Amino acid sequence: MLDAINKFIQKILKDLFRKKKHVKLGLYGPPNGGKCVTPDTEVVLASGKVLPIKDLFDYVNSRKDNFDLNAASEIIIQCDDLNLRVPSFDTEELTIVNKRVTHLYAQRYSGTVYQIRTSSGRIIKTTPVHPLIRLSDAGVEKVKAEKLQVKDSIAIAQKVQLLSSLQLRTASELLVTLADGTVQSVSAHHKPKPITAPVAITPELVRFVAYTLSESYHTKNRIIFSNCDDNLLADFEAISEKLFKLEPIHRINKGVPQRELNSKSLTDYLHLSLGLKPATSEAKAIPDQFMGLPDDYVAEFIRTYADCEGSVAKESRSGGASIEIASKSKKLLEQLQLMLNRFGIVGRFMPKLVNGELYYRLLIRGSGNHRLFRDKIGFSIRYKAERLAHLCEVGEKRNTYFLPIMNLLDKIRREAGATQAEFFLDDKHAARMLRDNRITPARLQKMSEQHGNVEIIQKLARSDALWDSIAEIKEIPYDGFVYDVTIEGTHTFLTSSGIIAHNTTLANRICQDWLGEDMGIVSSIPHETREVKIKEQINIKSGKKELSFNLVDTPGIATKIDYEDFVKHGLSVKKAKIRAKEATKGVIDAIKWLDDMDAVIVVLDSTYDPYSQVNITIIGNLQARNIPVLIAANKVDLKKSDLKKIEAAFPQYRIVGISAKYGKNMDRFYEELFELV
Amino acid sequence: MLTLQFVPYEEIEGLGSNERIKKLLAMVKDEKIVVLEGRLRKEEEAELIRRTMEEISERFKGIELSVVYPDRKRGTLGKSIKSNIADMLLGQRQGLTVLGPASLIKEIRKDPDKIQLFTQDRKKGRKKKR
Repeated sequence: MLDAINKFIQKILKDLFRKKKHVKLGLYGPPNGGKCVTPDTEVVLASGKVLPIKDLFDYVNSRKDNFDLNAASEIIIQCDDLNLRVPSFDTEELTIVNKRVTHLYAQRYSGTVYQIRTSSGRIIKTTPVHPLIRLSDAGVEKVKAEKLQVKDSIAIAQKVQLLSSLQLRTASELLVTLADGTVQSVSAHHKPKPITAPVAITPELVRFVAYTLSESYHTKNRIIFSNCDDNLLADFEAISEKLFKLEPIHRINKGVPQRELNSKSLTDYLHLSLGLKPATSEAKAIPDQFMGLPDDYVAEFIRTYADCEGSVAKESRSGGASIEIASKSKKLLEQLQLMLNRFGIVGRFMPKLVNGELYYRLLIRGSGNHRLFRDKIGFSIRYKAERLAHLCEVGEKRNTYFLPIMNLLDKIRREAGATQAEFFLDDKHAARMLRDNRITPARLQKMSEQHGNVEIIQKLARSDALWDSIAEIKEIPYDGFVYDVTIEGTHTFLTSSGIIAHNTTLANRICQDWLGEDMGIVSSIPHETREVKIKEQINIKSGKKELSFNLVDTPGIATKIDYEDFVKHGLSVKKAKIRAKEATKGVIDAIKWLDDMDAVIVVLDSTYDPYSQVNITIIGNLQARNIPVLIAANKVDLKKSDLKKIEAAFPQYRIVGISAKYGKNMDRFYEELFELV
Repeated sequence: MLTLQFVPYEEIEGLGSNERIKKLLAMVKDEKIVVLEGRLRKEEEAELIRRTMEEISERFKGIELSVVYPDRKRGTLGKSIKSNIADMLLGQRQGLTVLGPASLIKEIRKDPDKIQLFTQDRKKGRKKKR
């Protein structure tokens, strides 16, 4: 009877408590910052759309929960039902495949971000713990940004297949279809001339868009194409007539022939059906739908664009032989690179100042790339095609990408008992390759044909990624939101510049933020978290459940701090003393915060005797203050762990045995957390 | 040489929280291992740790602390009422607290009913049982 009353009272109390919004949840254990990228990082979607991760987050947020980002310090949104797909690098098979996005994250972050620039001009900005994919003698592995060094080789995309439809968007209230099938812009002031409007993408339309994006002046009423090549001018004219029944006006401006199309119906049509907006040269962008077209359409686009904006440079002192494509729009060049990725062609991004104006160039170097360009794309302008043919004949002079795995390969060679000539198929350069610890993808390709049984060679030769060395790492102070995604299965995503970034996972997120451990990576330095961090209003929505709280990360409570422990972990005596001082302050703050908590998660190590852990002091204190407690008994993956002992020690508390390292039982931890607050 | 100091509950009974903590911390800083009859209040325990942190220096590396007392939350309602009454009568006199400087004590191992104290020098390892 008493039991029943007790239960009833508890239930009422629990229900009362549940109604309380935005509780303050204390965490006694050492947490970390999240792994994230900055909001401007552009993510590639499988449909070919390239957009800043912030916009992706905002889009999903608007479709799902509409959380107010400014009111929260951390938001996690589950979105696997939206079927949003992105190209993702499989770090086991080394292939790039399309995978589903399951979660999106936004988190307020104040601290250092690492800006990493590779030798091919690709840039990414991430929080210190965000991993990229590195290739070294240890193989392919994910490495946190803060652990990366200049000259490390990180993965960038080489072969990416995107997919989109040829069908165009039609019907809009801004365009009316007339009785004869032509379309006309709706205007209050005049009657714009109607045009014929293609309903699907054709090679001609692809060329027309390429002309518009290259050497054209594109406003909301007209498109003016300027070029000195008669064939290109004629083609522009022919397409205008064939597709749109428009006849361009011939002009000459400063000696350059121009073809002008004066048609609001046309500019509206391009905008509404393709998303091709009038833009200044800095803001030009390839329509998203073009990114995933069939190979021959994509080749058509690149060829036309390169006919206008491309050049072929011979080997010179300042730079290697290269195909150079220029634009004032960085986004357009990144999109063009993504299109080239379809054929396995990878270039370098180089900024260039022309008469004080900033241009970007995509330099395609290496005869392997040149031959691919010749075979898959080519030029229709004869002198450019001839120069390219010459470059392809000259052969390899400079290599851009290397794989820093010679030590690894040499070890395999020695184990196999092969000579250098047999294994590397070369006896002239092997010594130098070993000295520099680098091998070209071309040689690896040759080796893969000979050594069919060496898995790593096979995988690397077939890989959809290239390995680009880090040229510069900058630490930049940052204060604002950072973002991340979770990709099902493969856990990597592609940024617009081609750098492959590892993602975060929900379990890892909880492990990091709430338990202070990165899954699989555990810091051995004691008192890593030395100050109390308050994250205001965290919202978590998973499935139908929603939880909103303030999280107070504390360093946990210790009764002793010895600076010599820090010295043992490699810190200088001076630094160790500073750290020890910080650690003592952290504990003091953690104790102060006890008074202010609505609920607390206490992390215990399940491999240690529960009675001897200092956190028992906290539990006693919380009990005295009537604060609800959830005990997370960590490290249950280890044999030494004894969950029963912890349960016996704290029979009156909720206890979840988890493994932060492997993300084990995080679901239950989650459930219990929802129950607790 | 290892000094053990036994503190009967009477010695701290009349003191305020502040003085209690001061007294205990002074003994520990004097490199003594303190065996206190009874226990501190939870808030005092937290305050003791807080003060310890403030005092930490190159010489003083902190404390080790362990408390044993009958667990009144365990067992039936009747038992818990009984121990609540005992608590009321005896105050914080029940139980036993062991604390000492971290530089001397390697580990205090605790089971619900006994405390084992290991000093830094293994040869001199001592056990205290209750």
